[in-house]
Amino acid sequence: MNSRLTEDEHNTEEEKPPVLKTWNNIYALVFLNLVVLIIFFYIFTKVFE
Amino acid sequence: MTLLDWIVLIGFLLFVTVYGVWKTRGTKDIDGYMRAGRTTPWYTIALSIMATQASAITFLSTPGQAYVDGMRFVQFYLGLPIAMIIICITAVPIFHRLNIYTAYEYLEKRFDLKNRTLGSLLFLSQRGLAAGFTIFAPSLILSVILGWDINLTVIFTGILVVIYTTTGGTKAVNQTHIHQMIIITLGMFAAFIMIFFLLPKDVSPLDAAYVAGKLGRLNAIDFTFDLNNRYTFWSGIIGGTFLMLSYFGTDQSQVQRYLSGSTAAHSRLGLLANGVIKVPMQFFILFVGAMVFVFYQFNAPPLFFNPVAVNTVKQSIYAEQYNNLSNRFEQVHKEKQDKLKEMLSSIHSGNKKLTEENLEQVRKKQNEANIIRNEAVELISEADPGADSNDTNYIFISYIINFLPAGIIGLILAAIFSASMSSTSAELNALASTTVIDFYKRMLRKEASDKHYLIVSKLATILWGAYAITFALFANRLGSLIEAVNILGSLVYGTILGIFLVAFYLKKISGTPVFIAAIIAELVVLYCYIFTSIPFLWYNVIGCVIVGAAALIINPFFRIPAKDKPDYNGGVE
Repeated sequence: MNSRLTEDEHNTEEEKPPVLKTWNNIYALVFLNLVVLIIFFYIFTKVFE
Repeated sequence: MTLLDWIVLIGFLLFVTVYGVWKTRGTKDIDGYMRAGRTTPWYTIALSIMATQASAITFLSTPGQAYVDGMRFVQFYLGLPIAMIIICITAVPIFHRLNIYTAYEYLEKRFDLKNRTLGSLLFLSQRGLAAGFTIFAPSLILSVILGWDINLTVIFTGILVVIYTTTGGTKAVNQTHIHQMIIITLGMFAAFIMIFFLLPKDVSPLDAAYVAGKLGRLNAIDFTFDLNNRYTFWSGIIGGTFLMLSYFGTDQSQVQRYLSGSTAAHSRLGLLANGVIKVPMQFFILFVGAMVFVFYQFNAPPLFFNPVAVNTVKQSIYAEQYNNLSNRFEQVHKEKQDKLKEMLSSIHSGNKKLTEENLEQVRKKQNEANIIRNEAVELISEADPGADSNDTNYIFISYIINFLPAGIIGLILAAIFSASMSSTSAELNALASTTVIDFYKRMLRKEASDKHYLIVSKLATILWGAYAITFALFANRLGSLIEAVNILGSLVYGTILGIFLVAFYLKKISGTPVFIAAIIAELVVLYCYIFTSIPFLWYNVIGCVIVGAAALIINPFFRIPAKDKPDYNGGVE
């Protein structure tokens, strides 16, 4: 149970996502969604204040 | 509550319990019990993660927070999508590859037993206390508003959760979370839509948004950097990221949800779906609260929303003073309502100058109302020094009980109970798993049959359930301890996160330096809590950064024998 980790165990192989070809593309999409939300919140705050 | 409300409420709670037991009746081994046999699809993981995080207090308190303080609380969640991405890159692939049951197993594989024990002990101490509070808090609020017996509410909720969590383990928790999230979503939409039916006919939804915005309730973003301001863009994006990393990356109640994924890809997609949905969901719940605020601009609100506190002051020597304040409050509210209608007319006619003048009048009346309310709170505190002077948690439930039609009340109460049960079930499930895997199996009984560990896991779930119910039953008498429970999470999360981040990213650091660094970090966080006024959210950053920095400084002083050194240079031990 207490066998130590190897570098190989830390570097896991990539499993392809079902869409957008790479995980980095999916992460970029999630991050972009956050940026869009922040812009929306800013406009929302300014329009009604 | 009408008969229809009771049928909707009890019917749903019994359905969820029976469904949870029936759907998972075939669970016969420890893998099925603790990780749902690693067969959970991504959408179930996403719903389960959200249901675990959304406790009943989220639904009772969040709309009330928007009512009192506006929507700026949404910034607290801005770090969540970033945390989801980081966890997907680091934790998910390693956890899946190592085929572990708890997050703390990884700490032993990476460092040593003492770090694993420290991580799991911090989790058990913090989450163990929180489990009782998760049942107690909504029961208290519902008992105050509806007059229910708090002990019966606690026991009823607690026993239902223990039944299906003990029977089906992680699979039951995940499966019931789907239905609970559906009812929670339906309940919130019903509450939202009803507001617009209850507003005066000449006030459109856009008018309602203008009223909320002009009175400072739609303040979703604040870019000013102020360490003493709890909710800003910066505290959310920096402090929030650290907090969410700690919660989703190291808290077993969340880690267990995505460890049950059929593949690492499903776990990742579940987490990322949460990253996309959670922020808009919180925005929506806060917007409901802002609309409840608008509703109460056109319908007289009570001077104070907690009826027990109001009854206490009305039976004290301050009764006359309170009644006078109440009458003044009502008068000011009527005057404010007239000014609001004038302001809306000027907005409709496009007269900006008149709009500004009317707005100024409305704000003046709002300030008058706030002053009267503050005086009322002071009277309540004088009548009963132990009374809760914060009525935020009672605002939303008061609106539901007093203004919504039969059936909808039952639906929303079912949503509140669902939120309470969904968080509690995940907590009991995680507490039992950590107790069995990190302590019983690791230290007491290393070699036993699968059936033996399954029985011990079920017993552990029952014991933790009994403990949580007992804590909830006595919580009323524990007073300030409840506040301590809330604070405890912030005090330990940063340190646990620091240990995990060192494990993931600082590969040359060994077990003893990180263990000492964690103790130092915990002492610094405790110092900040006792001697400074730094907001809680920043404790996660402080604890985490100190673990990393101290571990880097201490590490060169500890020379590890070659045979014990972790091999990170490409070789295989």
